[in-house]
Amino acid sequence: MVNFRVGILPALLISRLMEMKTENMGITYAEIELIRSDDRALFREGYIREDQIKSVKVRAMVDSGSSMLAIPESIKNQLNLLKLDEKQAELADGSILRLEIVGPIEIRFENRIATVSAMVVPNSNVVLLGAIPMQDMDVLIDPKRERLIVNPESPDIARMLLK
Amino acid sequence: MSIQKVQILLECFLSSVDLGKNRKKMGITYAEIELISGDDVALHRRGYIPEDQIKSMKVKALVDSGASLLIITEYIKNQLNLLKIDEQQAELADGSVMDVEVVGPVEIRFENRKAIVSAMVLPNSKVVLLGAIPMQSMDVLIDLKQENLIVNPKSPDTARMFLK
Repeated sequence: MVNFRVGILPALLISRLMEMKTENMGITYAEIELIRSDDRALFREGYIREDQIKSVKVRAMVDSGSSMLAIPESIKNQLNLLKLDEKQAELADGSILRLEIVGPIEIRFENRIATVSAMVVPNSNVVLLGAIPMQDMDVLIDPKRERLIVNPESPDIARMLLK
Repeated sequence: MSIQKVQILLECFLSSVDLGKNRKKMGITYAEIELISGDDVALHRRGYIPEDQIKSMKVKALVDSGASLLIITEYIKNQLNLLKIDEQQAELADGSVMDVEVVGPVEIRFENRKAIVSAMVLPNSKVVLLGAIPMQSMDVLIDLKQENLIVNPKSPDTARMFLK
């Protein structure tokens, strides 16, 4: 039992250090959960059990400069997402890529939920949480604290604009 | 009114309509910021040049929490006559890495906030990206729903930094 504790502490420390390593150069990350929406529908209709709903918890880079949610191939495969469409994506250097759109994905962050489709970026290993899902969840970015926060004007439920 | 004048007015109107369309798209937030040559500010402070010779320009910057630094175009670098101080690597969203020039110092002003930073120059780019470090330094928040950059409501009059 003692050995077990000694063993788990360094592991925790290392994972903590790795987390710190990813928090570089002022960039904000957020813990979000990505859920396969199709599975939720199947569960609602009684075709599968709740524990069969495919989901994954990730540390996403909060990116107000990207429009959509962007995921790597690995998450597309893990959640078994279907291709819905293709779209063009413009990078910061002006180059344009043609990317696959998959979905639907349910994103959960604290008490917020948004259902969106995602761009699949090959050769990437980060999840980018873009502006449209963040609008949908009614969150603010606090660059100083490197935190994504639920809108303090409406903490309990997302408030949308209807005007 | 001459035909030329009408043509110019029409062109102005069309270009403004077009810009408006380009700038508010797909949930992206923009902020009106002023970029000032840091060297000129220093020269003015030391009494070498009058205030009206400080080079500055107002731009509509794309608020990009996914970028670390301020990123400017070649055109702005030339307008503000900024000197190269370093070279760094920049990683793009598709994982590709490019060598870019770092120039500065640049003073950024947004509402009552200011920050002095260096900037990356991205060739072939037409947009200014306001990255995370300048935003930290100005103590601002990004309100995605309203597509607005706002000064931190907890400290509206002056930027409050951490010293811990």
